[in-house]
Amino acid sequence: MGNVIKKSVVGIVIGGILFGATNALGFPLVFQMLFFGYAMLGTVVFIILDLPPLKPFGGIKAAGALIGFYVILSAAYVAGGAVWPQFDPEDEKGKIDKILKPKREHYESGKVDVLLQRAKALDEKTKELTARLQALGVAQAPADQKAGGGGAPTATTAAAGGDVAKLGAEQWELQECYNCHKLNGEGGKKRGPELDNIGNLLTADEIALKILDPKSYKAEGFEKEYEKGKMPDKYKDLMEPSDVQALAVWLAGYKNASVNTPKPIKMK
Amino acid sequence: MLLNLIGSITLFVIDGPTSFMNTPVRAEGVSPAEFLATASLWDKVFNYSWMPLNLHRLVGNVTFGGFIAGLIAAYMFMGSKKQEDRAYYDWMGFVGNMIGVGALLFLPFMGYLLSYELCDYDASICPYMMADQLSMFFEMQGAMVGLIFLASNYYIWLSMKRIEGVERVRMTVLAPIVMVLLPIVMTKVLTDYPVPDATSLAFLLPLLLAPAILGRFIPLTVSSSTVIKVGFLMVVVGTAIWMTPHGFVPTGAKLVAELELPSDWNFLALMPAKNSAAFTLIFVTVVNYVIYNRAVSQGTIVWGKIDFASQFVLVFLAFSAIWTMGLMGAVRSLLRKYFHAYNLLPDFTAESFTPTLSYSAWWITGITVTFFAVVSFAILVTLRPSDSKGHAHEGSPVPAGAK
Repeated sequence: MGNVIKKSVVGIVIGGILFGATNALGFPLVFQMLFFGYAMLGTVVFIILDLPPLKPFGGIKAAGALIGFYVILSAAYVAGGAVWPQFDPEDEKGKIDKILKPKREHYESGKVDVLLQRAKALDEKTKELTARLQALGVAQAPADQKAGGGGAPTATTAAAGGDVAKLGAEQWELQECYNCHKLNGEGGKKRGPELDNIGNLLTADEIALKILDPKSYKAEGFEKEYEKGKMPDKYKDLMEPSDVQALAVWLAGYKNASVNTPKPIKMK
Repeated sequence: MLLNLIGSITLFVIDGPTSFMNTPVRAEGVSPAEFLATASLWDKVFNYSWMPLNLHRLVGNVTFGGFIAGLIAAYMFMGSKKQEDRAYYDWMGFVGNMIGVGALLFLPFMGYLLSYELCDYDASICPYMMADQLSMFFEMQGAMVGLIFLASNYYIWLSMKRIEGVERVRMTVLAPIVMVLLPIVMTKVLTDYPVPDATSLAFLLPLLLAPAILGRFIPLTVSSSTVIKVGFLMVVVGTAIWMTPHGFVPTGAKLVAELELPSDWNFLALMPAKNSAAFTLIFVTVVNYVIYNRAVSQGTIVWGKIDFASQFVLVFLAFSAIWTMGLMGAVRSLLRKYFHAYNLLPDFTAESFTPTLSYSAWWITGITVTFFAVVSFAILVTLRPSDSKGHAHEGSPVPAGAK
């Protein structure tokens, strides 16, 4: 028992030192408590090391001890899972609903294949019309069609309605672009370039192209990330063309020359 | 052998669709749906995460098998009435634990390989896993791994106590010194030369091999008990490094200064530090097994005389290892986000969201308890200790040289 008290005192002293040291070093309170907790874990470990041997027992007593042990373990792990900060699924549900809404509509209508065929047919028709217009010497088809395909004009319409900033910002959040890119001083882990000055380097259509085909542009200084294909090549499947366009137009509005957004190099 | 081969092949086959759901086959510039239409069955099976998942689960299953053998041995030891049986099940528990821990040492690397491939497939998986919705699952993983390593080393500690002559076993003083230095040096080296830069090995290999090579020329030694106690200290330190998060928040979006590591100490939350922590746990366990083997060769094991608490350690290891497998299985499955097959087949059900760690912990515990109830029942009805009915002894049930 004396040994237990001695080790407990040593553990509390070490925990106190860690608490004080982390406080002096500017750690937030929660980390100070965490380091104190580590000291307590070490104390328990060193107390257990010198515990006297447990005498063998069997039969009902052993069965009862085992069941009790399982109950303690189960309770400890359930409680352990509950003590950490919990992600609120409600934060995500709204996002998921918005992302999946167009796909849900396609699926629910049960016309995915039909829609794909229609899109392809429309695409063919557009190409045919463009070729005819070019032959007649008329200007090319709108840029948004080039970037986003057949359905792209929706965003342009939204932009005309003044909602583009809202839609673009919403897509930035929904697609979690902030995980890799810094914007307005927030987000990013140096996985991708900071984008506050992207509007001075790329047009909205070029940004849209980069989103749809990450290999189309390479940011200077991000050669390794480019080679490894760090930017996911999935947004052409995940996002509606109108959403891509809204995000691109919104980003093109960022023209903060004081931020060193790396120069994009055309690759394709 | 044949059974193991069939089991492994079955595992690899099961991993095909499982890994496909995480990382469906794809090609640059082609939509998954379009590419899928032209992909062969082999293309679909041999997707990005198939082989890493195979390796991860193969090693995980060896760990599982070892710890379950330890669990069976613990039950049988508790139910044994004869010293001869206790000796046998003590040996069985030790071997089961050794297989479990031996495979466990490779699990962090296999897990790292799998997560590396998943992140390589889609970089957005990484922050979702480590910095956002699932980040606290990895906090729990750190706690569980720390507890498992503490328990497995405690089992070695208790095993040492039943070896006669253990007090004479000594080891070079470099072993505990390297244990203490390892997390510091390794964090620095891996920060300067990140994985997979092989330059890091030029610094780390000499350090790791120093006890074995330089130790022969340095006469200073310490007792086995001191080495193991320093080892326990470093397992606690390794666990602490593993568990220290960048911020006490479930998602990066909720990070505020009051819950974030100071920027000067942020390296504690980065991969070099986490890798160093994992390697410290492994290094300590390997050193402890080296000491144990030295004790066995210099002393005499008294099988059956192990501290009775060790049987609860075996039960703890089996329960905790399986619980952790459930936790990491939940992570792997949740990485599909709101898809049945990632980016291919959306999940429109009401359950299409990331659950809380607390909710997941309930389910994982429930599944683990159910599994243990089934296994315990199976052991009870098939293997319960009974008086032998005229069995002719085929030899000693314990290894030669044991008392």
